[in-house]
Amino acid sequence: MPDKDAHISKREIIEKYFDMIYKLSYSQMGNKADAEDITQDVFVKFMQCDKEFSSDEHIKAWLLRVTVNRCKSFFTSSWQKKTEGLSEDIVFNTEEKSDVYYATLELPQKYRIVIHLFYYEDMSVADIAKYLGIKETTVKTQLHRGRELLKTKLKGEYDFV
Amino acid sequence: MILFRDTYKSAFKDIEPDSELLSKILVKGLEEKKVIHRKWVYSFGTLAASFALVLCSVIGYMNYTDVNEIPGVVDNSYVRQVSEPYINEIPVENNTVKIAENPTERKENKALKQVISDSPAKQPDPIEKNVDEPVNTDVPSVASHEPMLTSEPSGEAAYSGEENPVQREVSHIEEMPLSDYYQYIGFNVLEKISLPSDFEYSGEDFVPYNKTSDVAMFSFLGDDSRFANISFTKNVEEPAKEDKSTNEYMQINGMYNINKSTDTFSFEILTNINETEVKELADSLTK
Repeated sequence: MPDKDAHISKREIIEKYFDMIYKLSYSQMGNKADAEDITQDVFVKFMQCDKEFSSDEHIKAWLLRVTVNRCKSFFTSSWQKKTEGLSEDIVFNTEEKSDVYYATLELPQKYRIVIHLFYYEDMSVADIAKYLGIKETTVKTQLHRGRELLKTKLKGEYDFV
Repeated sequence: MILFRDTYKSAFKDIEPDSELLSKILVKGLEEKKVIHRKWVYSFGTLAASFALVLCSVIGYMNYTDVNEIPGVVDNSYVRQVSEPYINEIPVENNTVKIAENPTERKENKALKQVISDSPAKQPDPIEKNVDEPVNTDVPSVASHEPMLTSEPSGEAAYSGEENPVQREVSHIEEMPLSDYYQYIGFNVLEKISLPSDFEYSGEDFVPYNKTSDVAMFSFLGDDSRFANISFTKNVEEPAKEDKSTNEYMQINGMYNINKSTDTFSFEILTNINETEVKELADSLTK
């Protein structure tokens, strides 16, 4: 029963990367509904995909790139340009969390991707470059510019190590 | 200094997805799989419908197109088709039938400008009729009135369509010796017909003759697969009917003709070049 096995393994993969994809989508979209839509689209596409993945890293890279591309296409779609996105206020239990969250939401999308992968997923610059298919120097540049913007917004209260 | 990494991580850990989102994704992924299969079914159904449509069209074409098909003979040397008779109006003097001047005629046709006479019968009075009807309407009306001769030199029926109603009528054609026919009609037909020099009578000593309709057809073969068919009948008393909606037979001065005008008629002289192009070779005959 290779199909059943494949389906089971895909389910395990979805459960494994579900949190990562959802959080990345949330960091890009800024609201729960859109983040859930993106997450659903990505994993449905993954389930329907007949692509042969060589390794777990390959699957992870594929999922990340599909998520990023899906978020980009969402922002560039004519529907998104003609409508105003949902604004969702999240109440955090500390002021610091709230400041950091809303400061990152104000960053340009390309900076938010690398900031999220670097600080939340603890990926190295090389891994981010590999997963997103861009140069390491590009990742470093975007990280640097994102940090500078965050320092300005957060008034230098945080250490960006 | 607060570490940005720790604060950022704790902030996003507070954000939890809907508890049912994962199960929704799994269910939807399976549903979408079914949709893919359904798409294949739709594609296959569309393909099958298209194939059936094409098949019906082909069958319909094969079964029903020969109703309006022009009867023709496919031979090794030429292809005969019935073309629209050329209609011209030239006065006839002294019961003499002349080949009319056609402005579009070829050089060889000039040889046809010869007086053909010696017919003992009188000419019927010319009657104006409508001549603007299309060509292909000639054939069914001919078939419905009288059988039609082929241009087959041997006198045998050789029509292209098997179900053509004309074909059944043609089976009455038989071969008659030329001398017998000359005696029957009263004059030497071949001597009265003038055609371009490359045209030769193809029937040797016989002529295809239809007893039912009293029609004999003289077939001449020329160079470049051109040919001319001239039909004769002895019936000289019957004028053409004054029916403008259908094409009638006209028999004047021993000349048999299929035409739609009562005062203007023509030899049924046709030519074919390279087995594809049918052209009218001869001029009209006007009484």
